[in-house]
Amino acid sequence: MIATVTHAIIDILAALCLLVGLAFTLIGAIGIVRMPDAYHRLHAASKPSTLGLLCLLLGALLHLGQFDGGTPVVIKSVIALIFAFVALPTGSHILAKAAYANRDPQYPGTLDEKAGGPAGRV
Amino acid sequence: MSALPRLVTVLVASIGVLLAVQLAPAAGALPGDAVATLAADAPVLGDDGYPLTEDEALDEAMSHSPLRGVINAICAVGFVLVVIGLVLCIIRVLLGPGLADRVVASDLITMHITALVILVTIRIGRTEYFDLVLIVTLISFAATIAFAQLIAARAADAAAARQRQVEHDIAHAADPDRQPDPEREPEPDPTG
Repeated sequence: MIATVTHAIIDILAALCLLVGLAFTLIGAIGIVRMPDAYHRLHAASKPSTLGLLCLLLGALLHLGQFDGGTPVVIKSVIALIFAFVALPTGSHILAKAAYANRDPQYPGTLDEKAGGPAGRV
Repeated sequence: MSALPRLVTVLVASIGVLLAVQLAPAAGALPGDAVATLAADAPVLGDDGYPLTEDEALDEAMSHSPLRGVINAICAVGFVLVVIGLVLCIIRVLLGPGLADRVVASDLITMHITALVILVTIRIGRTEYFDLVLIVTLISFAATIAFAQLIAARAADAAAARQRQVEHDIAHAADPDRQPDPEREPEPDPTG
């Protein structure tokens, strides 16, 4: 009985994680189409994808980890999580720096870093 | 900074992570692996006397997970959502005005492929595709770094060209007897 309740709680958590991860994945994809310039697209793509990958991997870890042969999935999930949390923000940062050095066009309402006001009005 | 040391670092890190995965204990198999083996060797008869299909056998093997049906439904919805997201990313790859936009979109495509692999692993209950999560993440990181280096190199070239243009203008503005440069646009007449 207690084992069934434990499995049920784990499954509820896994289902919630999967739903949140899928939602963030879709939000990232919508943002990359809707946002006006490359920097906004980086913002829309990298943050939801990091959190979405976290939630999806947690869901897989929780759901498959309760079966007998789930140990490899748990280990690989943790390794992938650590690597993704180091690699994805690093890649986004380097890409944003390169785009800024390349003078990619900015959205007119972007705050200018020197004047502290909207770049379109100063 | 040259691209080579960074790429070498990325490659070494990738090989290290893959080695760690291979050395990790491959303890047993998920129920789906056993179901696939069983279905190939000796089909199990169900209550109705017919052999179980692979899906039924999988449900049977995973029956101690009480919300298995809910998670199957989430996976079924998730496939549709991820494919919609993939189409949106491909639209951005095709449209994106700059190289950076395309690189961001292709980065997000690899993330969607990762999500798809995770959903497939949960749905079929086998471990064999799960290595793809790590491999795709590693390759997408290396590709992002490489494309960022390419964009930065182009930006450096453009900056050097602008600098040369400025120096050229200054040198010729100081010369009172300069001839108009035939290759440049004529300056607009301020009176007209």
